[in-house]
Amino acid sequence: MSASANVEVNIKDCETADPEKLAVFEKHISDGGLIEPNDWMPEAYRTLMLRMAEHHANSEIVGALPEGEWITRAPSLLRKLALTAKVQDEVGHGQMLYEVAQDLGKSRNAMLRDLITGVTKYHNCFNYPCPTWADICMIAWLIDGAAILNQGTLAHGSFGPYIRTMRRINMEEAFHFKHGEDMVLTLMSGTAKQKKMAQEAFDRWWDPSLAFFGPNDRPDERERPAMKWRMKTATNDELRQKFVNRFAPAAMATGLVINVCKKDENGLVISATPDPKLKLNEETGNWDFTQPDWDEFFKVIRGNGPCNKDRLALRRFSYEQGEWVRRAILDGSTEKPCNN
Amino acid sequence: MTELEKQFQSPMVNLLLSIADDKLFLGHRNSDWTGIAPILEADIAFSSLAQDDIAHASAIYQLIHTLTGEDPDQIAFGRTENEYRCADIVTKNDEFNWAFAIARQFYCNTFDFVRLQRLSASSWVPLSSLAKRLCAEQAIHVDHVHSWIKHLGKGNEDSNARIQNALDTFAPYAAMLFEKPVGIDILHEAEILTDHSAFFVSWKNSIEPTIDTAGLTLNIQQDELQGGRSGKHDEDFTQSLCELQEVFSTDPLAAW
Repeated sequence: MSASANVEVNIKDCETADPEKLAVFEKHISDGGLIEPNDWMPEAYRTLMLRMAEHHANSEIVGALPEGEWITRAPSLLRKLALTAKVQDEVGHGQMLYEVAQDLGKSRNAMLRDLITGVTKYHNCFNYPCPTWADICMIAWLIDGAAILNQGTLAHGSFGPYIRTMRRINMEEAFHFKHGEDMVLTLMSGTAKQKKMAQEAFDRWWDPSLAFFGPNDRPDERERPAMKWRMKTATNDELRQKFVNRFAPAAMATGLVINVCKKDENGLVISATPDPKLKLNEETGNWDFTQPDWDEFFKVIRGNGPCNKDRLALRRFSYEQGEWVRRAILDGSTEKPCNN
Repeated sequence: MTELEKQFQSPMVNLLLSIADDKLFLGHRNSDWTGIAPILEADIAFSSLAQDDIAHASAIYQLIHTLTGEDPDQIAFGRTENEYRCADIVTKNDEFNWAFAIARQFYCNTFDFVRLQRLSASSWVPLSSLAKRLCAEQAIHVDHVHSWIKHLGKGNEDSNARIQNALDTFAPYAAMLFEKPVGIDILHEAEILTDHSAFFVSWKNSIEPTIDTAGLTLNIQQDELQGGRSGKHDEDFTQSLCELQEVFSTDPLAAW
């Protein structure tokens, strides 16, 4: 569901690579070439690409948790089937992305262990609560919608296995988005209670959707390794603007109001007022909007969000309760089930 | 025969409910593992099985709709507890213990396969053709879960003990799968159901070779108790039903 190209690598690491090889490598990338796992690459590239793929894989499997909790409560046979299939897709994306990361030198088991011990992170947007069915609708519409925009640009990156995986994932995300859009439209053309439920969930998810793309751009964004080496092809702010241009009019067309909200420590809205900045700027052709609450964003990213502990605890539970199974059927320390 | 005479409709609906409710709640329980199963590949596979079961239930509720005119979602989500006809093994709490989930799946999937094979011989064509179609997918479920039983039975001492314990714990509930749906004898007498062979024996014959290969033992007796098929459910079922109906019941007439 979510990619993040916002993992960092120390720029100094780039300077330790063999300058001649580095020049050939960079020319290959700037000519539009792809890097494959066995090609020469600077250690900084390997490190950054591994972190990106690992962070993305972690986000997929942690992202499965909040939605997974609503499968058993889905209110119709069709929704139950669709939600189960969607969450299954997210797990499948995680599986594919862990394979990509493994090729860069870290075992799946090490990645799963680092995830549950907090050594590595997952996407911040999964640390917010989903108290109603409408939250599930908004996640599929807004967060998957944001992921499609983000991953659409990542699919033009430079690491072959990652971009091929991204293309495959994006096709499935398009279904997720349609599924989300259909659920939101159903609620917004339903009873007064359903519309209220949808607006309240929208208020909870608009800010995390804006923040989905990561912090505001730095002045040297395009010179930093992620963009210089074409791992990332659009900046956070560019993607955020694209998202607002698409979703602000779409939300308003359904009858939703875009509010600026204050939230309590549980991530629940305590006040909501229409975004005073929201309007189509005729000069730029873009929608103006209020930035998300970045103080809250950094608080959540540091591990103090409403659901950080719950998500990690469930992931840890899953890892620990399955340990005896992996010991029994995986061949020693290998990563895949054996065939006999 | 494509039309079902009126006097057979009520026993047929009761039989169909017992199959669909089994599948709905087994799928419901198993879908809860999506995202947290022990291995990513197993997670994906188990979720597919859950989706198949929910889709099978949906197809059977649709068949009931052709007899009663009732909306499939209303049938699936809108009944009171004593109107559900599933055997309670399908909603037995597995406590997110993979051995329990696999044992439950082993008993139920094999039972469903044998049941669908028997129904494939029905003289009521809408039932026999649906049963034949579902049987093809059910065979994949059976293959999958029998392979898990072998893996865990033969894996190591610990996994063998865990799966044996799970099989023993769920055995009394598995026996309740064979509680006869009310009115099924009428369908047998009228030769609408044409397979009169011993159901329990066929099922046992289907699971014993796998149990033997896996180095496990089967400790199960057929009994005549009344339970889920008669609408008498236990607490785990009540809890599952509450979850199933949580959103739906906020407004049963709304579109979701």
